[in-house]
Amino acid sequence: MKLTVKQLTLLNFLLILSSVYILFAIYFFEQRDKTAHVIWKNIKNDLNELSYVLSKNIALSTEVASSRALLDRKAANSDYINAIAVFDDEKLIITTDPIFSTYDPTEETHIINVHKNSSEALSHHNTIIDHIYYYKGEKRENYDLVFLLDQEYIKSYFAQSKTDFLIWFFLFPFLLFLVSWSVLRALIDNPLERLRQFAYYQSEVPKKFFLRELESIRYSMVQSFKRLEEEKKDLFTLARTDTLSGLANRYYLEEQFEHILASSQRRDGEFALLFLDLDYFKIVNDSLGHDIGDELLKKISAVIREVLRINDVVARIGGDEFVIIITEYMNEVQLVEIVQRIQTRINIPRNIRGNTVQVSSSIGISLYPKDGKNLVDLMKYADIAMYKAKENGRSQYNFFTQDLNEKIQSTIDIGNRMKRGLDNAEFELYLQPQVNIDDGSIIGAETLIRWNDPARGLVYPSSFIMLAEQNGFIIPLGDWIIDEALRQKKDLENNGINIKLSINIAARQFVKDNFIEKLFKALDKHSIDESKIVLEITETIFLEKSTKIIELFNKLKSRGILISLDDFGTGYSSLSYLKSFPIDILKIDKAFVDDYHSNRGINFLETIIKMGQTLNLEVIAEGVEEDDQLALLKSLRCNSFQGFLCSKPLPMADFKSFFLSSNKCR
Amino acid sequence: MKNFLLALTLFIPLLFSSCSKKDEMKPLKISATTWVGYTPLFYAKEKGWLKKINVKLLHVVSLSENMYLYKAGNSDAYAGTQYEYSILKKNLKALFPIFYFDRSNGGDIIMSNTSIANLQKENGAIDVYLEMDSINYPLFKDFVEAYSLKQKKFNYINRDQAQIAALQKKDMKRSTVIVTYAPYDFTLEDQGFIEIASTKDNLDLLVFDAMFTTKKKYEEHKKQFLKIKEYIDSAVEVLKRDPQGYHETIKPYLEGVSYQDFLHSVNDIEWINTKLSSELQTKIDKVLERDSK
Repeated sequence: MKLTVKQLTLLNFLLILSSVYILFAIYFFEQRDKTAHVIWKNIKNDLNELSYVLSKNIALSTEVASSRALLDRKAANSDYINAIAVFDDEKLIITTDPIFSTYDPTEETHIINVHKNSSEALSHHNTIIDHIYYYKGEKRENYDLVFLLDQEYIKSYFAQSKTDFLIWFFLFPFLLFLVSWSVLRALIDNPLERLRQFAYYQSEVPKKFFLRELESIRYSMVQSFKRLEEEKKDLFTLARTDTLSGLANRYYLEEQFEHILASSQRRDGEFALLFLDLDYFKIVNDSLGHDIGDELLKKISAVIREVLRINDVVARIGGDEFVIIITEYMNEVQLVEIVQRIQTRINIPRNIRGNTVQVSSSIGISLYPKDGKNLVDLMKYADIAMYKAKENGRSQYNFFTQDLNEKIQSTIDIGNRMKRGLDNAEFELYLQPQVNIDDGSIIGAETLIRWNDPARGLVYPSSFIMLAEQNGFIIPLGDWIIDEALRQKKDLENNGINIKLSINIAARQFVKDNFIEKLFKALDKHSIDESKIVLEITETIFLEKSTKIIELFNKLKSRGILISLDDFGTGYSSLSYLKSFPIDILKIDKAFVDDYHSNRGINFLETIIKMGQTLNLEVIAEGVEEDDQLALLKSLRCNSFQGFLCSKPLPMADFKSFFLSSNKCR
Repeated sequence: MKNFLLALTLFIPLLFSSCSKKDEMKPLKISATTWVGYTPLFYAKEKGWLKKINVKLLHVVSLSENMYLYKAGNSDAYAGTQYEYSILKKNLKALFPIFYFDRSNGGDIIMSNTSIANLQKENGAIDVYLEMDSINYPLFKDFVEAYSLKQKKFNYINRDQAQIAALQKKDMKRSTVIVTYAPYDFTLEDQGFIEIASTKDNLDLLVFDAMFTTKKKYEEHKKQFLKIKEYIDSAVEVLKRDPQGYHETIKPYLEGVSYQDFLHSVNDIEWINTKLSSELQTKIDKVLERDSK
């Protein structure tokens, strides 16, 4: 049977306590008997002495009375004697206390020469007697000298002793035992239990212990577990890491893939899996040596990791093959940008141990869920796409889906051509008149971009603006539009045409940090009257942070620039925005104007116009092509219109001619 | 923690028990002679009042014996006169009177086997029986002064009152003076001696009786002392109201003293347990004035 520390200590304590109690009990009874003996002996001695003294000094009972003082003193000086009396054949001669005036001489217990244990004697005798012998001539006579014992005092004395003993020799050791037990529990037992739990669960690190030995054990355990934990982490990392590159290995890729898959399934999203293979890596390895090859791989790995974002996963699955999972991208265009960035960085020549090494990469791309829904399929298709890229000449990327591939390529192509187009001044701003409904006068014009693509001819904004917004080209294009529009405005002014000019501003352009700065700079450059400038912004602007937008709007308003809400009713407007943002003009979308012949359409138009009037906004209708539309709008008291009914968008020269020939339209 | 709290729970009553022991009335021993002024103590004893408050009354025969008993530590407080107090005070600085009983107004007596005139004429030695270390001695000195007996030869015989009370006139061989106090004077009267002076009229000495103890003892037994004072006041009230009933209760302590003798001895004291009478106050003032000169 195994004992616990607690049990063993308890047994020990109990053993010690029992032994102590036994010893104390023995001691107590011995002391009690000794004390009783001393008291009893004292009383007997007093009795003997007094009876002797009296026997030598008295003869007659009258002489006994003269000894009163002696008896009084004896009784007063003894705590154990209540009273002393002298009897002559039961007749009281003298007593120190009137209460004590009789006694029964026949009781056996009175005889002091009966040997008894002192304690017994003290407790059982109320009175003790001795004889006062005296002589009448030759005849011996005697009186009885009787001590009345103070039983109450004697009993209370021993009782008090017993109580004191019990308290100090029984209770007190017991209390000490409890305190010691508590201390032992607190300093040894509980810490051991905490150590045991720590060893078993390793959950909560115990706080420092008071006892040095236990504290040493605790400290050692903490250090050991800490080391184990670190080693565990190292092993964990090692099991998931490619030792050469430091990137994830296949095992970790599979783990991460599961997480990404689950997340994409939850949000019904898409992600791309890239299979990257370095071109002609084998040649590098064979010609320059494996150590150079390894060094190259390390650098390539680092580059790939740098290009990618934190949520993207990259793993080296073997040799010069990498798998990359890209989870967050707005569209394929952005995805391709990332791919191109990777390839560009890989393509950079590197100096490795005095050797200039340059490699390119072929990347195959498969998309979840379009191309596959598990890792095996996606890798397989991405691998196929990668080989296709190699077949097509290497140093390129290829989507698994051919249509997508082509689409992407086309998009990229357009994007590149747009950029070239800007450089080559292939863009042009057309102007479409804005007409006062009441009197038909041309009160303004909207600038509309056109692209004179050498390959495709005149390209309308619907073909390229969205792409420009996606790939960020809208920023430089937007800057050009503003500059060109203001230049045109100046030109118009110089020709006596002082009308308002509306410029379309993309949401992405508007929220760019330096937009206001650039706009004001351009206004100053062309010395334009800002009150004739209208910025047309679509409702998508309300997707951006409203506090910033309001701030920007206010800055524009502070210069007197007007703000028109384009395509009103088709986007994210709410009345709260109309209340919060300083809009000047509502531009009714063509879709509402087209529906003019239905009651519902009329109601919507009426509602929008009335709302604008109520809010003190100018209302302009877009896309007006029919007289009926115009009549309706006029009846609804719309302020102005724009559309083919007056004129299509015209190149600048044509617009000037149009205006100058007649500044009215209908 | 549980065990520690248990230990504390058991220890606290232990502490309190020791505290409460202090609060409990510890035994208090007071000693007194059967001087009539101290009989209220014996009355209280007989009524069981003293037992209730754990007070033991020790009876002694004489004032000097009482003093020695107290000095030996066998009593915690004693009833006595200012004379024993003045002696004990030399060594026990903390001794002080707690409360008063009475003032002797004839209870301290000078007796003799002859008249004052004969004593004044006496040329031989005069035996004087007295307790030298009690009020007897200054009283005798006062007597000598009052009756111009300074030139006489006195043979001082130091005895306690029980022994003095056993003297017989017929056994006296020469002029004898006995200094005593009630109730021993009645026995001596029966034995042929006559009263020649007392504190009632022809002696100037003021004798006060009080309860004496030390400050420490007083603090330790304060409750009990206050109760004793209450009992004494009650006993004196009973005495004044029903002296016969009072006498019945305490007579076992007054051996050989009849009710008439007891009444007589009561008249030889003035109770000052509550306040001083105006006459006494006047007398005190006179003595103080005289002593200051």
